[in-house]
Amino acid sequence: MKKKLFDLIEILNEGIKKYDMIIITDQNGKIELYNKVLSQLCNSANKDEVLLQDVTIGQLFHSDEIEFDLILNTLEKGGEFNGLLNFTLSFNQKIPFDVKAFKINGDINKNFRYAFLFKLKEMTDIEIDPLEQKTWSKFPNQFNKNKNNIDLITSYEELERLKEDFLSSVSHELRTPLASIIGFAETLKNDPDLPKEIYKEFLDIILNEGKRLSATINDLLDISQLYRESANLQLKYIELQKLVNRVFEQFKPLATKIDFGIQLQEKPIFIYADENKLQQAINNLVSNAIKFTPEGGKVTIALYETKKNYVLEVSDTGIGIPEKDFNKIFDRFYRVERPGMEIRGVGLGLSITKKIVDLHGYKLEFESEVNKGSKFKILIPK
Amino acid sequence: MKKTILLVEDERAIQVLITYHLGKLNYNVIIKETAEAAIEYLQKTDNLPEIIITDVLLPGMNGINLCRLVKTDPKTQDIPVVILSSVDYDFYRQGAENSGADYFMTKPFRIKDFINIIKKLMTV
Repeated sequence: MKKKLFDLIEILNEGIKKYDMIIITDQNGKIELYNKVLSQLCNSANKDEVLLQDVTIGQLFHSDEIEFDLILNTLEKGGEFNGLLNFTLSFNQKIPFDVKAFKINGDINKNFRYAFLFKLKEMTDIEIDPLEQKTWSKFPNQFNKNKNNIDLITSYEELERLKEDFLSSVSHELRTPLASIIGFAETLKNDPDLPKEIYKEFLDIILNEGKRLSATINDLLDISQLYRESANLQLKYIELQKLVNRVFEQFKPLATKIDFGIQLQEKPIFIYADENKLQQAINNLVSNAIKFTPEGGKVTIALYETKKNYVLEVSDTGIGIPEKDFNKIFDRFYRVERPGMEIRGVGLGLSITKKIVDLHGYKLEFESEVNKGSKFKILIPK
Repeated sequence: MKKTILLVEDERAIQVLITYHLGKLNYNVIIKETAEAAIEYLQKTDNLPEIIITDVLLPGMNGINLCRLVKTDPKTQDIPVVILSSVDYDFYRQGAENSGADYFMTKPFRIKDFINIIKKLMTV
């Protein structure tokens, strides 16, 4: 539930980068969201775009090999569809797309959607009538122009529901610590004769929940700013060693119960990056490593180079990430759930780091094993 | 024997808060962190709780579906259920009402209001 809208935004953001066309449908295949490329296709096919309001994806696209209902069945069961779908232009011309489709999980009302990501099939991949090619070859240019333009054909009510989903996630993250702060403050006020240890425990909870609330608000502001100003990196030449050292010094006072170390290669590394944002990305990795490593464990920040990359590595001997969660860890609001272990945070840190790394065109890799530890690497191309 | 209340909540601070206040009223509070664990407990125990208090957003099954299951099982259907929600939307309230919940309360809540509801449900 908490992740639904964010999943959708992630799919749209990522999809636009890698695919030509994105269509989101409801559970019956009815088109809800699409980018302008579909309008372009409909115009070319003399299909009225307004009609998209009532159209299912199976009415616009077809596969030569499989019934559309079977594709939807597969998706409903959690499977993925990877195959060829054709859009029919006028005069029975077909435009083939490589398509990846999957289910987007639903909310408390069990609503779910399907995402269809279309990549125009390479011209050389298929045999084509020279006459058809003429019409068709115009498309790639038009696609690029229209790719970033997402249209909502959903009703006003649907839009309102998406907004509600987003607000419920935020509401939950804000109201929960607030409930503790108000509840315990009220308790302290009404029960002045509490034993000293309980009094202190309650005060500590108020303090911690206050910090948690403040961290949540900062994270929400950070991430909304990142998405609003995604193109606004303040790039300049920076020395990576200095930046990493600064992060190390900043966290040293917080890492007294673990072995916290740093390994930097001597030869200075200069990169062209947004210093503040990159520091924030590294901060989140180090903060997580410390947070998830029990007393006596080890956290190391390392900086080195390989043939192709400069590598910034944060490794820990902490609780690790279960393999089933590997594909979820960069989702906003994901938190490692571990019974008996009190982990605070909203779960925005890694998603912020990922976003910053992506904005720079770097790569974020990780490996992890439960109860052994995790290793995150930012790969900066030379 | 102390009366038992089942609290289904994964937030430690809220667990401590509610346990403290119900403890003062001489209730024994059993805590489960997921709806699944609560169901397992309810199926196995011979000493059913007097009231179930559940959060809505839990890891795994949500509190509204838990309430629905409680209210359809003949063994547990008479136990009053209080739903605590950190989201105050009509469709949550509606969902809670449809599931047969006896009370829907939003977080943050005033302790005295919470206690009053528990006392009221105990006397019904």
